[in-house]
Amino acid sequence: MGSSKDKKLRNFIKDVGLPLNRAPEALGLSPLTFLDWWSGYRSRVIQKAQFVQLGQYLHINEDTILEGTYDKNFVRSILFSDDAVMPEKYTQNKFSYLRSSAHIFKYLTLKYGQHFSDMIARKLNVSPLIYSDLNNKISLNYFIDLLEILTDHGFKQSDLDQLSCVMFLSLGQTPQMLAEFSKARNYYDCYEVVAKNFKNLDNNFRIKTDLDRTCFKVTTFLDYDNHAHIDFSKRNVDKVLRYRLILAGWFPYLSNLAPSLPEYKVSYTSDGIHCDYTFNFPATESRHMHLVQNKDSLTD
Amino acid sequence: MNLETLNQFNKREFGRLFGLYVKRQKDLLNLTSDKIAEATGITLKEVKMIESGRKRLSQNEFETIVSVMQMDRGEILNLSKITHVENILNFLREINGFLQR
Repeated sequence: MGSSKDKKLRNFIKDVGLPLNRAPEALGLSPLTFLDWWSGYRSRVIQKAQFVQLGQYLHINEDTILEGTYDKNFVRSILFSDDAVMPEKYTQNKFSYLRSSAHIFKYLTLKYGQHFSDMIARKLNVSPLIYSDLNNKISLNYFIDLLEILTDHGFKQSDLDQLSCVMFLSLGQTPQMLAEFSKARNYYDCYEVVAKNFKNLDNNFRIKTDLDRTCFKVTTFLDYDNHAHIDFSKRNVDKVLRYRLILAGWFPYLSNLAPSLPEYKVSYTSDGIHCDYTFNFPATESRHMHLVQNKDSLTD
Repeated sequence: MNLETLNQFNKREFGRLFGLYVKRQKDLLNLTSDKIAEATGITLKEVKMIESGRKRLSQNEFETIVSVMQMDRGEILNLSKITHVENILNFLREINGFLQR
């Protein structure tokens, strides 16, 4: 079969994110034979039969694999369609929109590759295609577990902080919100968009907002009663609240304004967690707070 | 796309992310580094350095690679923004102990 077909198959496996534990079955090889080939220990393993088997497994013509003309999205939908069932803990009290974490997976893919982000999804026992519809909702437990798994994989707090700052990576999938942020010319406009779109991001916290030309105040409350299934350990709560704090301060970046952390206060009562944020707008905001001289260079 | 504008925040990190993107496209398009070198007129050694983020590109080389590798403009902009964000975060940490514990 030759090394070019080997290479094409490897590229295909990497590109579509075929889980390696399913690859033997998909290729009609024993697990040991597959591992020997994948690790480079054995060559001349891949024959035409493997491509035929793989094509049947994925419901595609095997020639498209050789030619590189396969439909990647279709292949991934076949690969991961059986993963549509979500862990029960993520289906209770679904108050978070997937929209609010889609940028994290995009970031992981850009920084660490498709296999890494797919692996993280599998560790959460969710489909890598989970973000195909950002209007879908999920439990806050999902997000807590996501941060925990990334920590287990060596993410330091500074790495987790960056996740809060890259929401622009997925904003394009919500064009209306993207357009509204792009139009904002000052902090007031920007946080007006935030206030309007809270309900599209997160419904775990009960929120009250107060916006004027000098500041934006947000009062949030997470009640224990409606979230009894969540692990409210201090470690988990601290991580989530820190993420939210930084995220809140970085909304202006979506409007090409400098980010700025709000003043905030957290208190724990017997019925829940109260977080109050105050975003004070700079007095000379419109002229001095734009990030780059050539604004257009980063707003495409 | 102006390379100097894109990598202004962190040339090294942008180069690394760009190299990762080149590698992803290489896999997607079933190309080899040899073929990329041939198509772009860049030496094989330099192509490999680009993939590993160790070569500073000229504007011309950058445009050639983007065109040959069919890279998405929006995705390249995202890479630049990631370096920009990291830059800002580092700056904020330095000047006021941003969220230090």
